[in-house]
Amino acid sequence: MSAWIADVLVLVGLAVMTLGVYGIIRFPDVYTRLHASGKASFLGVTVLLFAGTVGGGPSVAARVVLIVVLLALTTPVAAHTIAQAAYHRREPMRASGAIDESGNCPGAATSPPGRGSPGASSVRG
Amino acid sequence: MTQLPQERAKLASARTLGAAGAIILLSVVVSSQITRSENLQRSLTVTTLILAVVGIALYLVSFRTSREIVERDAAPVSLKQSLGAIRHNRPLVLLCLSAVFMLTGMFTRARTTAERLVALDTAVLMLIGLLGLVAAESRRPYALDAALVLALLSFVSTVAASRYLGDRRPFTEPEEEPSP
Repeated sequence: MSAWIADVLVLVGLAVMTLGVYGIIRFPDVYTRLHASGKASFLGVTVLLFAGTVGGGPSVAARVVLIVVLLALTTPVAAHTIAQAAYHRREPMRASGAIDESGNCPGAATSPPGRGSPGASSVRG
Repeated sequence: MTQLPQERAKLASARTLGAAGAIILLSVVVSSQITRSENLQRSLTVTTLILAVVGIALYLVSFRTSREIVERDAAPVSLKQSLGAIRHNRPLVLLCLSAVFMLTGMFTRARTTAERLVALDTAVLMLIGLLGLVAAESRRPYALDAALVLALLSFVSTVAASRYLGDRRPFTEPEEEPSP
């Protein structure tokens, strides 16, 4: 029974990580690639690591919990610093519908398309 | 080559003296060239070639004349044995293969340095997952210690590299930073 649970967890983790890597390959620019890298890969690694705890003892479980807590703390910070560096270097936003209200990056609109909110295109924060 | 400490000390001092003499000789020859010669690049190239020939000759002479007086108590390990030890270590082979694939994909697809950072971060995350699987499959919990260290290191290196990428310094004081 526990072997089945471990197998299912490994398959789910591999599927999620494959989606993340596919997103990194397919998305057009850094900012959208960070979505795939920061969320999908972290969740996939978490599921994979928990699949390893199913047959193991408490030492494995303690280490896995430590690693997962550490990754949950550090992965968003790392993704944020990468995005900040890319924004400081004015890397272009190639995704369709990208909005950069400070007008720093080429390729992005400077204001949201004011469909639902009138006055959004005239007020600059 | 010997195992005796006195002989080794003699060898080391002779090596140091020889290196110092060679450096003095080099500086005398090269510095006189810098002031005097009119075509500096060609004369330096010629000097380098002469030095390469002399160095290879001296290396061959010392290789031919040196004698090794070392007693081994273990049988020498053949190349075949070390290759076999690497081949039978399946987790190591898997790790190396996945790292090679990830690095290849990363450097062929990425257009900017920030995208390479994203790809490197993801590759390290995948290695952490792979180490977890290795630890579970071969019942070695200490592979998870390596995964833990890898997680810490990847965070620090990613943050330092992207800070350096953004404002050319890894650590800045926010109030002293000039606005771009």
